[in-house]
Amino acid sequence: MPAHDADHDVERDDIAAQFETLASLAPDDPTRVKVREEIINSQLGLARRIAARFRGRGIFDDDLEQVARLGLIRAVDRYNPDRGNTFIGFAIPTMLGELRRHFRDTGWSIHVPRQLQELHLEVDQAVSALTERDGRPPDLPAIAGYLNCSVERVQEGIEVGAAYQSSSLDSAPATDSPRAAAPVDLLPSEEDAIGKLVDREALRPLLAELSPRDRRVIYLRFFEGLAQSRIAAEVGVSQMQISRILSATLRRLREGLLAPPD
Amino acid sequence: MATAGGPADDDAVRVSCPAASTYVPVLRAVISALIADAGFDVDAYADARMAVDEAAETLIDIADPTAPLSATYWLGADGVRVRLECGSTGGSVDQDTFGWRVLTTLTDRLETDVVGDGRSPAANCIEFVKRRTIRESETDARSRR
Repeated sequence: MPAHDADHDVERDDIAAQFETLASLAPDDPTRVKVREEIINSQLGLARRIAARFRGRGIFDDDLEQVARLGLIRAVDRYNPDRGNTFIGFAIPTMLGELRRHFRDTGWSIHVPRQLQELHLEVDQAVSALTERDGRPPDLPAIAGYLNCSVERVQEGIEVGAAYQSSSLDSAPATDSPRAAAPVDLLPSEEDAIGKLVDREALRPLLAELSPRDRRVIYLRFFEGLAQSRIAAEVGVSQMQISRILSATLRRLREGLLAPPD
Repeated sequence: MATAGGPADDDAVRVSCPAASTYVPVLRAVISALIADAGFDVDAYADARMAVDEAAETLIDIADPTAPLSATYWLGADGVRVRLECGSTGGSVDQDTFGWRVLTTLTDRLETDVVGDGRSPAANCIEFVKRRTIRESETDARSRR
């Protein structure tokens, strides 16, 4: 946007001056809060523009802006002018990073178009409704009939779940969470269950790394032998979520088991 | 399928690909297409797809990388039968592993064997049957104990 260049430079010098002020203030100086807030407020427009880049991918606009603002605040608090880059040059990647992480945490890969995400949700809801109605999980043609679409569409809706899982579960167990730092031990019942397996030594740390929910799903499916629909009812999520958790977790365990020991 | 004499060869769908993980989605896509409209409930559909993944990866893990991985699918009255076969470097499928437990859970019948004429290197096989609906026992933990 060339028309804004002049403004931009003024803005930039302004921020630089404000950060200088901030740096000159003692840590307990009450004016710090005010200056910090001024910097943040002056950049809300930027946060909005960055958030807008992620529109139409299945997350509400308000949420996107909220996440971008969070990134902005982080950038303000972490920015160090002595490192040589401008604040804007630091803030933009920080906000983008925050937005990407949000997409990862909420599950959807940013590459999945909203229309497919909605199809996935529709199929998911249809499965729940039909299971409730008939007392057993439906087949694909029944879902297609319920949604008034083709079986191929239903397949698409199910399979796009893979994009969901690859984004939310392939990423290492949320490195920011305190849980990731200290893998929990397996429950005694889980220990018993893997006790007879020859690869248990390799399996144990991999299982311990999973979130308690994912580990419980694995345990109920492969050691208790419960069907996905039954686990869905037990854990309180949909059958398709269970299906996603299972295939993504299996992939992760398989990769871990095949990896040569360190 | 799984009846005396085995399924008719005419009904078989055959796919052959290199023994590498990159091709596993192809094998999974075939079973998806084959069973999507054939009365499999969503649980059985998902299980069958996962079973193809797991069986293929199990064979690939011990495969002779130069040997092709071949998959044969039969859709029959009882469900779908899948046979995966791949030349090995000498190892066979270990049945005391987590992966085998996964396969046992996902399928209704499962076997592995080694085929060969004694001269050329042997091939490992995994064959499973997946029915259209989940087992009664899978809806209640207690009944399996």
